[in-house]
Amino acid sequence: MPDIFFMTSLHPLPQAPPELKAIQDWLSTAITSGKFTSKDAKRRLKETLNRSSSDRLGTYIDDYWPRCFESLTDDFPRTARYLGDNWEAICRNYLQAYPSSRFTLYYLGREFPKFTIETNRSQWEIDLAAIEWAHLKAEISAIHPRFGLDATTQLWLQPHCTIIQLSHPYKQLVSESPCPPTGESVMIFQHDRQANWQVLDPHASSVFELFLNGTSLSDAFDQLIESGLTDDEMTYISTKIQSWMSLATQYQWLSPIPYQGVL
Amino acid sequence: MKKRDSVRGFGIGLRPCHYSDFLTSQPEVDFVEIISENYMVSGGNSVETLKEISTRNPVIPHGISLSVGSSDAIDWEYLGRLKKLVDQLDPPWFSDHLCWSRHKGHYMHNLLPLPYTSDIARFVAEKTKIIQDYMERPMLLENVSSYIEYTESTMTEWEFISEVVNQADCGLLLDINNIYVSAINHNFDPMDYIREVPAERVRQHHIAGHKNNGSFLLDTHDHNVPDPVWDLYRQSIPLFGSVPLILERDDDIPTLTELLDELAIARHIFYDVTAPITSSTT
Repeated sequence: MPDIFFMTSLHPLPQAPPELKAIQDWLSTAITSGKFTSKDAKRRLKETLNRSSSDRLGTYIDDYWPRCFESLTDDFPRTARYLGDNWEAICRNYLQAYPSSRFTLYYLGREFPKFTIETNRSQWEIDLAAIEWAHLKAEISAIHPRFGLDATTQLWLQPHCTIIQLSHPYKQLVSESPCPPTGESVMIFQHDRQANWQVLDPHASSVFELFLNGTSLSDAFDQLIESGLTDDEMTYISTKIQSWMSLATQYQWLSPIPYQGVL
Repeated sequence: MKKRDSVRGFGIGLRPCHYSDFLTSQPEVDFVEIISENYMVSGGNSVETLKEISTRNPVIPHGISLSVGSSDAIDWEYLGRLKKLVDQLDPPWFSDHLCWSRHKGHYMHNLLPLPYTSDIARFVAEKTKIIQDYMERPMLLENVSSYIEYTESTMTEWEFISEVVNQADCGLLLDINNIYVSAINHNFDPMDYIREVPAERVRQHHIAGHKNNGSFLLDTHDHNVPDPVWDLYRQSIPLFGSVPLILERDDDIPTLTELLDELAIARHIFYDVTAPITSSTT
């Protein structure tokens, strides 16, 4: 986001009054965890004739959780259906591990694929979460404009693209038809304003992954040679690289603008 | 500067579902308001559409996540994004809420009220001044509806909000519905609020509907404006005069035509109240 002007103020920043920090510590914990004692609520919040302090606090708690739950369910509909009755508990655990850290709910599920791996969910769930977040990312990310490609241009994978090493076939996952695991590499990307997908040859996947951190086509070849590929593998890549780059050009997978994420 | 001086009258909170109708029908509204954050991220709504609209109607960015009352430091990344949007639209002012929604970097995605004390008013006013300076544009702070009151508060909400806007030298976006909702929830006379805020700082109004939950009112923006809120608006007009008004609707959003019909009620009330004043002075 190079055109955004970041600054620190020339004015001295005011110090927050300690009583404000204390009340915000308490209330934010109560709202996000739903945990508080009625004694604390009564000490911090006034009662009215018809509502206790706890009831009044409950209005905010009752708003926070459904708002987050609805957002996650919208972002991960297949995962939600697959997990059924367990989905809500998993969302609660996810939000405890990864509370919302952006000013918009668009990115509330950003860490959910990582969370499924960290919490040892089944490989089917890990795959589902990964493709659903990649779909969302493809739909909401900007696409950098087309550019002239040559072998020495430093290129990055575009923000709308995600390469995923799935344990199950993509088609089975999106049709929600569980099946035995068979590995598959896919590129999920935006095309015609929709999330699209392309199964990648494992070697193509290795090539495109190099562009995550930025590289040129010629440097990518050098890195592949250094990675210990056999002569046969390098010959295979040489014969395929043109068609892979044609795909990359057609679907705007690469850009000379460094990758900066979706926000 | 011409556009900056020209905001008055009656407008709507423009939501993406009405873009197409709005652009084709070119309705009789004086200005529109949009939710700033929806245009500040990848995948958000199109700023280009807003720029097109802003050639005909001033577009006011209204935020929900500035969290000026947070004890956290100012979020300069957020402000950088907001400034980029505001500079693109060149509105006469921008606005957000006098509340907090972020703590220790985590978002509650709600507009939480503050304890009303002089120390906290001073702190929020200082932050507001810094933000307003950085944005290089007037800022309005809006009163929120609330469901809790802190035992630590030492002043009324209207005393608090007056201290903040006076010390910060910023404008006040007075939401008539929010006053009504809080008045019912906290058992005060809404006219006390309206009489006591500094009228010269009231630069804009919001009006909206709410939901009656039996033992309290919930500010849902999913109903038509109810009669008691219209009555409160009517009573406020002699105190504030010709203040630009935005009709907000965020859920169960009706057609643009229905929304404009409801906005016509606001116009009618305003002209009904001010007509005798006008005729008596001419």
